[in-house]
Amino acid sequence: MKHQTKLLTLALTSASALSAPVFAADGGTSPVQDRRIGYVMTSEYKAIWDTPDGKAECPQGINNGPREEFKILYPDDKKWTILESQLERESEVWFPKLTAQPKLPYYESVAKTSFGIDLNDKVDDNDYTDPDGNKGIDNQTQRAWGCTANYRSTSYNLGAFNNWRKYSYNIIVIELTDVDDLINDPDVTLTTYRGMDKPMTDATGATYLSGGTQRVDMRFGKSFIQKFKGKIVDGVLTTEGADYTMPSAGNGSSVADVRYYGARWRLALTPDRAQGILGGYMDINDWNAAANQGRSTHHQAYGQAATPSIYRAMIKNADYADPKTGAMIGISTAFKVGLTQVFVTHPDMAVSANTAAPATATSISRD
Amino acid sequence: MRYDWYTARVIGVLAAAVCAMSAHGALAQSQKGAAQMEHYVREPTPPGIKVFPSKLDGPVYTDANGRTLYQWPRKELRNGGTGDMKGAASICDTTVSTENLGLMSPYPAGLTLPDVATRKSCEAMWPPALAAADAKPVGKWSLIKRKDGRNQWAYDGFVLYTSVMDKKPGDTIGGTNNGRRSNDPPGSPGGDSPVARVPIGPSPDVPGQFIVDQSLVGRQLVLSNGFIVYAWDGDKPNKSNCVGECLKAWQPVLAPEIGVNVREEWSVIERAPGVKQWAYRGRPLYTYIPDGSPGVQHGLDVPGWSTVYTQYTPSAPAGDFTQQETAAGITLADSKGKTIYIYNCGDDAADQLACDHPDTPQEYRYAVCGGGDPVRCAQTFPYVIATNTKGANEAWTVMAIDPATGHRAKAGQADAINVWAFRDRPVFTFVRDDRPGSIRAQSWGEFYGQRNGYKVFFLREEFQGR
Repeated sequence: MKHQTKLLTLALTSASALSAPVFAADGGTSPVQDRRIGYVMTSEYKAIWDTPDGKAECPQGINNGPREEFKILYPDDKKWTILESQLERESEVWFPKLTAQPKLPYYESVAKTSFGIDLNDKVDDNDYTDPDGNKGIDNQTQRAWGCTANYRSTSYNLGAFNNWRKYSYNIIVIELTDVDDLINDPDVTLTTYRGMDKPMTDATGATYLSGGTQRVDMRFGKSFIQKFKGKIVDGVLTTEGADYTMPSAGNGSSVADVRYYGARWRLALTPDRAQGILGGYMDINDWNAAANQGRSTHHQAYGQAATPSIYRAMIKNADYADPKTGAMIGISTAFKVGLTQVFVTHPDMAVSANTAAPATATSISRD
Repeated sequence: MRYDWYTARVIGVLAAAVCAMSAHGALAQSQKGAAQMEHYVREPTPPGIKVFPSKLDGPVYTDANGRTLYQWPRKELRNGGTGDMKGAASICDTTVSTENLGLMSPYPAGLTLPDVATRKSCEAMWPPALAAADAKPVGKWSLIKRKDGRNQWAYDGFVLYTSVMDKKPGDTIGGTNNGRRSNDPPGSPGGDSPVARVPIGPSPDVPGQFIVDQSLVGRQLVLSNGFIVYAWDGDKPNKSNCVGECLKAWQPVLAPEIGVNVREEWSVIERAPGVKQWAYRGRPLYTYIPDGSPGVQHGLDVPGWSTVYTQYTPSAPAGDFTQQETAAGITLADSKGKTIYIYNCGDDAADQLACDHPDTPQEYRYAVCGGGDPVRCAQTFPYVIATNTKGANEAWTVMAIDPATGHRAKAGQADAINVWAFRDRPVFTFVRDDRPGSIRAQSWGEFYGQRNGYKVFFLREEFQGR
C-alpha cells in the first residue's frame, strides 16, 4: 500500500522532476542503494541569530565571563584566599545558586528572530520567527545564550564546538530508509547511529568528500540509535519528533551525552549533502554537564561564558516539562547542521565500499 | 564462510553480547596474568640502587632503603611552568609555599593556599635522593649539587627524590606512570594535569617496534606508533595458525630479518621463508586491520583475540566490584553497577603538592564534590564501602576514613568508615549515575577532572577523548 502511494506521488511530482535534478533511487550512479542513503554529520553550530554589533538584540551589552565576574567579586583591595575566591567560583560551577545574583547581571537576547523548528506545532508568545518568515520557532536558547559571546556568530568557540563533531566518540550517522525519491517522498524513516569511522576528506583534510563508508557502532553505541518518521517535499526532509540522545564528548576526555526531547530534523537533501536544522528540547542538566560544566573555566573564559549564570538563564527559560514529574527539565534549541553522504554498513551486512557514485567535495567551512 | 573484517565485526558483536553476560571479563583477564612481571633492560647503577618489580608501575628504581625514586620534570602549564630542568639543580627546597602561582588560568596568582598553617616544604614532602660526597656517576646516573651543596642523584639528567607517602619498599603511592608510555618525553602527559612526580625505572626489554603504555589495567604492549597489539588463542606456542582468510583482518607484526637481539620472553617465528613474526611469551603478535587508528582496540570484540600486557595491575576485589558497559567503553563499577571514579588533585603552588590523598588538604575536593560542604560531598560522591577486606592486594586496600574531615580516621575512631582505596586513595561513585553504565561524572571538576576532580575508572577506554 505504501509503495503504491509512493508511485502515485512519483507520478504527481513528475512535472517538478522535469525541472529539478532527478535522483532516482536504486539506479545508475545514485548513492541511494536498496532505497537507503546515509549521511555523516560534518558540521554543527548552535543556531543563534545575531547582528554584527549586537545592539538590536543585546541593548544592555554582552555578558561578562569568568574573568570579569571574578574581578567584580574579588577586587584587588584585599588579600583573598583560594577557598573564598577560586574554590568558591568552582563550587558555583558544580553547585550553582538558582536565585539571581545582583552583582552578576546576565542579559538575555531580546531578538524576535531566530533559527529553529516549530517543535510543538503551536505559535506561542515566546516563539520566534525565522529569517524565512516561518513562525512558531521554538528556540529559547536564543534568549538564554544570545548575548553571551561564546554562542554568537563571531565566537572563536563556535569553531571549537564544531571540532568536537570530529571526535570518534561523536560521529553521528543518519540513514534514510524507504527512500524512493530524494525530491518528494511522503514516507521515509531517518535512523541515527554512532559511526565508527572518521569522515572521509581530501588529502589536505580540509574538505569532506561524499562517497565514504561508515560502519555503525552496535557495541558501545546502541544508546544513540533512534528512528524518526519523515517526509521529503521538494528536496527538504522534515521529521516528526522523537527523543534523541546525542553523543557529546568534549575537551579533556569529558563525556556527557545530551538528551533532546521531541527532536526534529529539517534537512535539504542532495545526493552528496544534507544541510539544515536539528531542533529539540535539550535536557538542561545534560547540556550543562556536557558543554557548560564540561568545559573548564579557562576555556569558558575564551567566550566570556560564565557557567553558573548561563545555567540560571537556561533554567529560567525552560519550556519543556518532564511528562512524569512536571518538572521543567528542557529548553528548546536548534543547531545548524551539515552532513556529507556516506554508505552505511551494518554488522549484518557484508558490504564493501560502494563504487556507484563518484566522490564530490564539500568545503569544510562554517555553515 | 567469508572471513573479512566485517565478518569479524559481526562475530565481535556477538562476542560482546557474550562478554556482557560475563561479570568479570576484563577483570578475569587481569587476574589470569596477575603473576607475570615485566622484564627490563639491565643497565649499570650506583651502589645500593636496585630494581623493584612494582605491581602498580612496573620495574622501578629504589634507593638503598627500598624507597622508590622519582623525577619531577618541568612542564609548562597555562600561565608558565614549574618542575626541575634537565641537568639543573633541584627547585624543590625548604621553602614553604603560602600562595598559588597562578599557573592555571583564569585565576590570578597570590591567593592564599588552604593549608598554610600546616603545610610542609617541598623538600619535606619529597626528600632528595642524596649521594655520598665521593659518589661517582655511572651510566645514566649523574650527580647534581643542590643549592645547599649536597650531592643529589639524577637519572637521565633529572634530579631524584623519594616520597614521604611511600611506606613500604617499592611503593609508588607518591606518583604513578598511569597515562604514560615508555617513549614519552619528560613532562608527559601534557594537558592540564599537575606537574607530576613520576617513578623512574629501567626501560622495558621490548624490541624497538614496541613500547609499553601504562593504564589502570596494567602495562600494555603496543606498537611504537600506538597501534594495539593482539594475540590469538588459536595459535600454538611460537606457531601462528592465522593463515588464509584470517590474514585479511589480522596483520602479523613482522620482525626484521637480521639484527634481532636475544631478549627474555621474546622470540621470532618464521611464517614463510624470509617472513618472520614477533612472538611474546610464545604468542605470535598481530595488529587488527579494522582498528584503523592508534589506540583503537576493536579487535577485542573478536572471540579468541586479546590484547597483550607485560603485567597487569592487581584487580579490584570481585566481591565489592563489577564491570559495566558504557557508551565510552567498559568501566569498573561497584556491586550495584555504579561506575567507579578516581579523584585527581594537585595544587597551584610552585611545588605542585598533591591534594588527592586523605593525608592532604580536603578543601579542593569539597569545593567540587559538595560546594564546600562535606556532607553534601559524601552524598554526591559516596565512598565505596568495604564489606570486608577479602580481595585486598597491592593496589586495592581498605582504608578507615573520618567522614567528617575526609582524612584518615584515628585508631579506634567510632564513626570511622571502611572504604576501598586504589593506590591508597579512596574511590567513589556518583549519585546522579542513575543506571549501570552511566558515567555522568567523567571529567567532573576543575580542568576536566585532571586538576581537581573525577575521572572514570576505565577498564577499556574505547575513545580516549578522541
